[in-house]
Amino acid sequence: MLKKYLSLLICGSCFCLLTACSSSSNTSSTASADGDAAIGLDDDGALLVGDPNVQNGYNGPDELKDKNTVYFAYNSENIQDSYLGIIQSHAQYLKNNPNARIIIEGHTDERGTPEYNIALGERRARSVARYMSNLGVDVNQLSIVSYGEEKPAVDGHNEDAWSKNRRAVLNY
Amino acid sequence: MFKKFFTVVMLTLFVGTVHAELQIEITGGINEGHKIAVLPFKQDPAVNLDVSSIVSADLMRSGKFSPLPQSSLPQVVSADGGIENVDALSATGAEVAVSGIVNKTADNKFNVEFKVTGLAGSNKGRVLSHFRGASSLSTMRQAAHRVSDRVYELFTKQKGCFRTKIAYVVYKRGATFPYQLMTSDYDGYNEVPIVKSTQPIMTPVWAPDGKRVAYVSFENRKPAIFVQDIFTKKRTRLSSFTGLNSSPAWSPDGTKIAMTLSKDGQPDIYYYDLTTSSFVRVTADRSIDTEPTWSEDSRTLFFTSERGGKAQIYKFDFATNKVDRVTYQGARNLSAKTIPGTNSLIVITQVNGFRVARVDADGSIYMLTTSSLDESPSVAPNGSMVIYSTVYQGRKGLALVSSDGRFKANLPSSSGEISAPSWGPNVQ
Repeated sequence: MLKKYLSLLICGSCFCLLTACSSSSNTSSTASADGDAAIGLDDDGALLVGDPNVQNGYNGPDELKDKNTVYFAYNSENIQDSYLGIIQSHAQYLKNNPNARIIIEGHTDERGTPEYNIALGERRARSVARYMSNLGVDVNQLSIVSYGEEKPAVDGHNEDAWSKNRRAVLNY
Repeated sequence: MFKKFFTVVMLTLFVGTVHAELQIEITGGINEGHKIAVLPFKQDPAVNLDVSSIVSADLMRSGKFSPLPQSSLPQVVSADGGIENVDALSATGAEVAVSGIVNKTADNKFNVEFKVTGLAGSNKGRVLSHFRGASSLSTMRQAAHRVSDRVYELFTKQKGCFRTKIAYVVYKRGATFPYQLMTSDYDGYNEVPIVKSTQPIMTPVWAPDGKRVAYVSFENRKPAIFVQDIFTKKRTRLSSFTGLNSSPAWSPDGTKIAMTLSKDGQPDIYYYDLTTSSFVRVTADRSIDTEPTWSEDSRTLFFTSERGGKAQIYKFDFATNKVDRVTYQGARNLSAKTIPGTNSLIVITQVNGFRVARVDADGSIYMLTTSSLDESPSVAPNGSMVIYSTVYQGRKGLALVSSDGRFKANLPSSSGEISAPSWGPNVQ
């Protein structure tokens, strides 16, 4: 009970903070060029969006490169004991480097619907963020994004692939 | 260069069939529909597509008809598009025949005229229906679909939806902009790329006017909901709050767009009121609420919630502000869609995997598919068919199932993995 209350509280504070950070986007409810990543029209008339030069990979400290993924059980956001060490080392890095900012990406396997999975992915990312916050990381250094089932790490439609796709990726 | 060569070859092989990205592979229910003889139309040589084969494919795809193979039919169409020898055609076992002409009336103006002739019982030899309409060469596919609409309506007393469009997302591995939002005719022809992105695109949904789509884009490496005109490609950003901006759903009356936002903590249902330009919160629950979808009269929102433990369908009534649980059977039920003209819902239910199912007003649930990775169901505007995404022979692709579960077809594509289909409105 207390734990639930506590997590809600932390969660709430994360949100206030994140909301404050991006207040500009919150107030602009309608059209605005700001944040629109359209870069023009393709030959076939399609609107091209996104920056093709942005690196999709890991942007964090080299020493944590091989320790940046936490895997989850099916339909669960509980962090398994074996991954606590990974999160702890990133937490330590963030405490040592107050200017560093981490982005925790939540992902799911393909089972269930995309819209439900995007919510489940957020719950996983938040679960990691909450643990980091409990470890004393400044919430200003934490942000989360859920990709749901949209960015699988491994292709395939079997448990082997699914187990590698149910994950939170710690990026910077 | 290679691409150009390839295009030329394709054109030679499929004269007049531009962008046939979706094929159709019937997997169930083909012999249960009305037996119908769709005869080759007497066409002006300038018409470069076969109207009767489009009509035949439409009727077959509806699940309500079993068109006989044209090669098995006697050639009995008269110069005016009628049937010369009813007995010969009647012997094939077909209930009715569709026959017609496409003749030139002026420069690039054609008369498309057809008759439906009874072949059995008291209707034998009677012309049940006779229509004509004008078309140019560029609208000839639509004219053929219009023939299908008329024939469908004659039998089912229900509006056909062969002139509707679908939207979907194609993933083209290795492309610079691999996530591509497309629209096409409901049968996969006339595919038009709308957006190509470096990052995922989710949940395209149509405005009731059929001119705009709303969708979720991760182009800024966080989700935002956009509304885009499919013709001008101009767009506006509807929401980019902190957290989730997902699952947009346009109300049938056109005044609101429901969505899932998590800006206030947990994922809850909101809507954007297009008349007042403001966001309104609908649910406030500690568990996941998502996948809002509107009732036909825009007065009720159905949604998925975990408030009872596992995900089930609930509804919010705007008149009473009350939430009621709708589904009880099945481990989980997700992604509800209303079936126009009925009190039933299409859902994704979890029973040995995730399958398309129908939930009737009394709460009973009927499995419509036997696959295990179904998602994103979208119902045709006349309620007859459901298009959804599934994994078929190791690839993600679209599939069709009739709302009664009898007719099933896969729509394999040559152009990448396809997901998130959305059936557009009937705007004709």
